[in-house]
Amino acid sequence: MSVDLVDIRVNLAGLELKNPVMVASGTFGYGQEYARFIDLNQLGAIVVKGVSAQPMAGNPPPRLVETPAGLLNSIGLQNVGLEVFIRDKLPFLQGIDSVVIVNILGHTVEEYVTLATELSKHPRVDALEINISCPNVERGGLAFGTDRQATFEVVQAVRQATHLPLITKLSPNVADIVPIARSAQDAGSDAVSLINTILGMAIDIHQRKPVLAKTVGGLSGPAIKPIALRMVWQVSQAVDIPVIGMGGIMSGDDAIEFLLAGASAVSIGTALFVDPQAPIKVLKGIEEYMKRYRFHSIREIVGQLDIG
Amino acid sequence: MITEVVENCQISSQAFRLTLDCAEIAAKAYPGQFVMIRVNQGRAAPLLRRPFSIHRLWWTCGAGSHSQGQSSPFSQGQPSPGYQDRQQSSPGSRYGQQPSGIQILFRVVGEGTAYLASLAKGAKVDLIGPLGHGFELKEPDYCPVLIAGGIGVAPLLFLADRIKEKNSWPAVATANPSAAEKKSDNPLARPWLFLGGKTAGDILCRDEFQRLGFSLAISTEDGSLGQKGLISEPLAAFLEQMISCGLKPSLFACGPIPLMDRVAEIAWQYRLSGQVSLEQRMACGVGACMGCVVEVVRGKNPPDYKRVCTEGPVFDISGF
Repeated sequence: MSVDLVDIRVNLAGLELKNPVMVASGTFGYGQEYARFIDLNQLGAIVVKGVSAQPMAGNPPPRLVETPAGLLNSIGLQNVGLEVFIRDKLPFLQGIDSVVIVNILGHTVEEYVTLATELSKHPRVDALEINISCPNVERGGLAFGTDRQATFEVVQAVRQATHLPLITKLSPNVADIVPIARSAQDAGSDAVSLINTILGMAIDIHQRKPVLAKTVGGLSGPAIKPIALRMVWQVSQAVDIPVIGMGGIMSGDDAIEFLLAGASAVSIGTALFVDPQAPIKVLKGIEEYMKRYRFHSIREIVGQLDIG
Repeated sequence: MITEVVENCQISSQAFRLTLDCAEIAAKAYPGQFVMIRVNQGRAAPLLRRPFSIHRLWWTCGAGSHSQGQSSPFSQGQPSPGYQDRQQSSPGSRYGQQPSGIQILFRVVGEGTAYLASLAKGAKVDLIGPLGHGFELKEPDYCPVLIAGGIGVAPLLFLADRIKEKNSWPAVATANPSAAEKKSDNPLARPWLFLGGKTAGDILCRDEFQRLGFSLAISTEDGSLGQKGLISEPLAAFLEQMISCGLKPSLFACGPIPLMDRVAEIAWQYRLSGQVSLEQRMACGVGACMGCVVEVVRGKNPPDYKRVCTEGPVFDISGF
């Protein structure tokens, strides 16, 4: 019997990914943090930690709490800011043979535009992910991502400021995610990524206080996978641009679920904390699935959910 | 990386000392660093790895004599600690040989530590490390004073091993014999460990520190062992005495935040150098997620949050 050859390359929003497994913004730092533990060249794409125009201090601790099969965080986008990112963080990624996507976050439309304009000047930046879905900051972020019109405006403004492929990262903290996804598409986004974390909270019953300093935070990990999957399915039915699926993916099987639901690629986030090699293992799982069911390319799996 | 349990030893009603075969990690480790251990056997709970400071390095039997290595303190007429001869495999320090693994010390407080307590010899353990910024032993002429609250003693034994190696206590071979004499004559000039806990059962590793030549001050909140009260109480008076003898104490502390605050206050009061090891909930352990921050220097605007996993867990006391 001949060896099954599987083509794991993915063409997404004009980006040539060597495979469909990316790492999610906020979980992989600026890449260098994980370089000791995983070969960055084996990743389909690296989405770096959200960058804002000015440095952000982030939220007071405690910022983390583990919940059943989940992680609740309230980081508040602590980041070094655009200038330091370009000067100190981006050069490390120069030698990496993977697609580099920079997640951008602003408090105003103008800040998003500034970020897009400046980052577009750097050849190492392959694409931008517009973060309109962080639940842990008071201004900006989620304020855009829960409103169709605001989503349209910010995506359109960024679209006009850059030639780079644009991905809009969507929030699950809305009554209906579909209109938001459509707004992103209509405003010129080349892809959407979903889901960001789901708002949640945890309480210390002995002290009768919230565990997180900011009371609420964003939930990630296996606990949110069914919700993420449902939203990926809904959005992929409703838009023509590619969907990047994420939310609790721990294994190759999880990733296949997202591909079947309509995602063209997947992102690994919280699983990295459990196992820094998780993206490689997820990819291996995808390849095994392809061989087992004789899929020759990723494209053949995407959206192949049979709903009878 | 996947490692194997060499020994899992219950040392008190709630505390365990776990020895792991991991030469690669041990070779790179220095005191104050930590490892992240997976405690979920591939399942979703407990989801995150748990951080544990490296308690001690561990050597296999037959790794050669401890008098190997030119810089060995034991080859300079110092008596070698008996336990190293007696045991087939041993923790602690040996110059000139590569360690075979590490030990961690933990109290069973939840699901993760209960799982670790259940591990038998030969069990596989998935860990990453060594991680973080540990203790620095830079100053040539100081008297180390170690301060531990409860399980905070864990990283201090590795530090004590390193102090012992560097200083070969109590006699100090220096170019200045009078200083050495002065040091060896004065019990205050020995390395000290101030060890506190809620109750007698929290007081761990006494014998190990004593074998290394450390003097111990012990207190428990309930008075069941040593002096009754907080360990920070006798500390200030002791340091004052040291300073009045012309000695230069340097503080190395690990334990609950209130104790670390108090130690920092004392250090500030007497203008002492020192380092504190902090704990915080962690997710990635490698500096990526920004989850484990603490406000080391308080009151700045905007606040200056540092990651315990990368900028720490050991921070200079002056900024704390």
